[in-house]
Amino acid sequence: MDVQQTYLRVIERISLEHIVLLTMLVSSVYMLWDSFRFGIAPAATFPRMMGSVVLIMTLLLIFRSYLPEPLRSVVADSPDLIDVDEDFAAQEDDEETEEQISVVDRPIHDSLMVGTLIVGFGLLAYAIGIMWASPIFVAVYGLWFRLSWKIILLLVVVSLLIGFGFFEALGLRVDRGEIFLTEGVL
Amino acid sequence: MSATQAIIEATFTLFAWPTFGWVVVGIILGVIAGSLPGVGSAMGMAIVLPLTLPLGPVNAIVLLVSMYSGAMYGGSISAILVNVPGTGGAAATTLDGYQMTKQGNAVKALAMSATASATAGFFTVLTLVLFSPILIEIVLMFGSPEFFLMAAFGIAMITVVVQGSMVKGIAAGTFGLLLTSIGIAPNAPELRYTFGSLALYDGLDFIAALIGMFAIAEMLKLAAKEGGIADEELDMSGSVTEGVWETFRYPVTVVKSGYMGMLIGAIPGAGATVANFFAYGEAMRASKDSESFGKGNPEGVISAESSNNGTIGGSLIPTISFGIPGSGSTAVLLGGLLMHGLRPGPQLFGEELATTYTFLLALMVGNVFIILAGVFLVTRMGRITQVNTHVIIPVIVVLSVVGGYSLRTNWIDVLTVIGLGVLGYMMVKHDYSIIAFVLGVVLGPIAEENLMRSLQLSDGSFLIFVTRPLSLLIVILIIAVLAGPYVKPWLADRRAG
Amino acid sequence: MSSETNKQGPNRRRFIKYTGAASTIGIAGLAGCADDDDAADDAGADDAADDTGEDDFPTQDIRYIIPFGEGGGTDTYARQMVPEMDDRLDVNIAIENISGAASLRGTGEAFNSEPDGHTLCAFNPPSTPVSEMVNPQDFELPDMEGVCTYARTPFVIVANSDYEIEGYNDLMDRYEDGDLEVFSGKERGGVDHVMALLMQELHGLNWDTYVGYDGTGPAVQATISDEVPACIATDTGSEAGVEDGSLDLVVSLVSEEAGGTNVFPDLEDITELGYENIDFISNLTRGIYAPPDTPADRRQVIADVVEEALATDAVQEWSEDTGNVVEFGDGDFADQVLQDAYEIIPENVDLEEVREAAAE
Repeated sequence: MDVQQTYLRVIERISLEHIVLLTMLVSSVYMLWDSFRFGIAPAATFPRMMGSVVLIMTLLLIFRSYLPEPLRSVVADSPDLIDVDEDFAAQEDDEETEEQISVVDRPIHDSLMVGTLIVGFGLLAYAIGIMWASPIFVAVYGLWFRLSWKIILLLVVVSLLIGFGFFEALGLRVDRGEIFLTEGVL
Repeated sequence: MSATQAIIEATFTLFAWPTFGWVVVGIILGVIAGSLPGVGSAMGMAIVLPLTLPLGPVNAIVLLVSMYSGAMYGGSISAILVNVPGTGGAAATTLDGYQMTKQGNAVKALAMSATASATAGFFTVLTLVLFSPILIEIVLMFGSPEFFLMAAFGIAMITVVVQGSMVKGIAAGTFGLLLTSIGIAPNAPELRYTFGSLALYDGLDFIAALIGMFAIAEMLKLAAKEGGIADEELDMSGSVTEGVWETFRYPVTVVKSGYMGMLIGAIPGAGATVANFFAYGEAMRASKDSESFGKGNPEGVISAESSNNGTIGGSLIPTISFGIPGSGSTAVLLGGLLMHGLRPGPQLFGEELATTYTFLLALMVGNVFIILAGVFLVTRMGRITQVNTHVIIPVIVVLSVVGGYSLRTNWIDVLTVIGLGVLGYMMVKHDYSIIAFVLGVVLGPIAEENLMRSLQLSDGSFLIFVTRPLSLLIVILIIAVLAGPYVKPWLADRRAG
Repeated sequence: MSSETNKQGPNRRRFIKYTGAASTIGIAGLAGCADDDDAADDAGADDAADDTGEDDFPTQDIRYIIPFGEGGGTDTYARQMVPEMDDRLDVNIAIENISGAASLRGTGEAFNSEPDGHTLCAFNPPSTPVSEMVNPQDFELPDMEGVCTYARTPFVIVANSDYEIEGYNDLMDRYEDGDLEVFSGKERGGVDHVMALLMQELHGLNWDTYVGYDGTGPAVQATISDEVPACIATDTGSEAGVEDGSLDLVVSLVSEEAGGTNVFPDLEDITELGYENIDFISNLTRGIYAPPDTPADRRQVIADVVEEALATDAVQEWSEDTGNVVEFGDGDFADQVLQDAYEIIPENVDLEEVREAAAE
């Protein structure tokens, strides 16, 4: 189980928060820098204002553990103006159980697997058209999560119906891809 | 057009086919979305949004508000039956609702929840309609500088209200605002960050961002949870009629909780969840029998369920007047308004007044269907809560991707749905408010456009934001909101010291 | 009226600098029209083989490209007209919204489609041509073939009634005296802004600052609330404000011979006052176009169907109920408004100057 252990070690090292902060840092630096190349000055006002705030906040968050005390708590702690959790924010997050890797006994974390499947679905949809990529996606999903073949079949039919529905109702060309099947099938 | 004329026109529009049909469809879809834990109103509405494209503005908005209303009730179904709130707004409903189920009164609780939801929903929206002429006067006082400041106020409010570090909230909100500067600048022919591609000419589509943040991110979260949402057998016993009558034995609780919900809902950022607990707490405080709360007291269910439907009327106030949605659901609703060419503010209260009244009336009438659903379908609805998570996830993902593509037949939108979905998941995991981010994405274009225009009006001087009395007032409010959490403990310390 | 915005393109110089990259990526962005071309060529070969008599047209479903989003003005018209057109043809007409990039994505897609009459595209001179001129594309928009026009939207100037402005000359005096400074309309760099600059140059309307709004509706609203004193607006967009007395009509920007305004038939126009005609830009025409080299007789088949569709009770009633005026114009007229836009606008307007004006 070497692969499995390497995988677990890698997963442990990657902090999702660092990815979020890195995304914000890189985007804000790039967008600030590029705003100096705009031909029309007023068009840069808003991105520069927002870019600067994002950059400052991101840097504060990255270096929060090195900040002097009063500032550190301002950055890291949550204010309690109204002390009830909100609609979306993590209302059930705390009870999440991290020990378990997968509810279906697979070697990869379920969220990671679903994320990978979704990204793969996006790429496949671009290549061969959403309508044809959807049944493949739901079938692979169903097999991975050990769903019964009846349910998998149902999902395949539903996914085709969704594609066909959009094709019919909106005239959306979901039957053609950008790399294969570019002429469309329907 | 006068308000009376508009209401008459709205009545005719609403009760004509097919508009009326969309009320029913909306309520049913909403109840289903609300009762599926992990789906809820914001996500359900976000997924339906692209499908409203061929409907035309009136029917589309009627469908969306009806879903919003239906979901508020739907959230109580899983709260009562399986102790899992379908939406955050039904969190307090679990306290007494699930106890009632355990005592063999599931159906009674569900009928009570429907009646309380519908009654409170009806009266709060009616209040909104009655007060709308005053609201119109206020909205008409707002000009470009005020609209920019209100957008800033909305973001500030959210970062304070949501849990987690305020710095994280501000970072998430301004990052959303920043991303909206991709594409052509409002009011100047400058292309920004498009890498020379026409696909990015109009920037990222905020509806794609909504779908990504609410649907894909939530699905990734849901994937990590144990298979079926509820595996246990459902015990559907109790009396429907008793439930309906029981509700009317507590008229004060219904009215008080409903209006509390309305007031709290009107504050951007404080949504149904907050209202839910506030109303529950108040009902408990006022009750002679507060001991029995949490042990299956019907009044607990009634107060909680009245309040969350009450928030709808309240949350619509900032949404349709200033374009500041206070919650995920209203963010999606605002997306729907903008997508169909309806701009919040003067337009919705001027030339589109009849449209505005049509969907407000639809909300009122929709409550009748909530009761009907609660009374006639309730015994069957329990099964919804038992749908396997792994059936929901792939279907929602497919709907999200195809929905994203349908917005502009632009692959950038599919990339946005998936990319921001993954980013949103990571943000949720670490308490970066996705509602602040989404609000940033939705408000960005409005904020920038009004900022640029204010500066055009003032010849580039930022003083325009403090020299007008109304602007100055909003600036002071923003400062108070942002500084409040830090000044409050400091003041308390001083007083104590 | 509609939410459709007519945003304008980027810096011309910068765009030329980037043309190489822009066109390749642009094509990828255009839903792979390079591949479509191949597909279309194959289809074209088949078509030519069995294309003995022209009577057969149309033989397959017609693709009607709307380069604007659902719910916009152009889309609204299309969805009214198409059912009536469907009834009069043996084939279906499928509306395809390819919106974005100031209508250039959709028009580009149409331009590169097979010119067999089965692809049509709606766009509105001079708005789309101005977008293309400011943001030059790798297709020749003026080569599109006119099928017909189905509506016309004339522009007028309205002012907040508190100022009691009496006509165009009075408005001009107020700006001259410095009494008024701000003038407004849709976004800077767009058609309204170009009109405002033209009026400044040709007529001497000396406004000091041009403030842009995201559409006619918001501009009219801002005039009513006195954020700005006067604006350029469409006749239908200003009708309600004029009726309830919050707005005063100043002048019609479209001359009588070009049709004037149906909404305000008594309003005097700028040419009556002796000012230079600016019809080529103040008279927005909604037209249907086909890819270059689409046979004339096929275009005529479509034009005839559109003409019949516009005359039906359903469309007429809709037009009366909503104030969306319908007005048929033949293919020559459609061609003419497109060519006029490309000939007259560059003669009169320095597009580079428009950009600079937008930057102020």
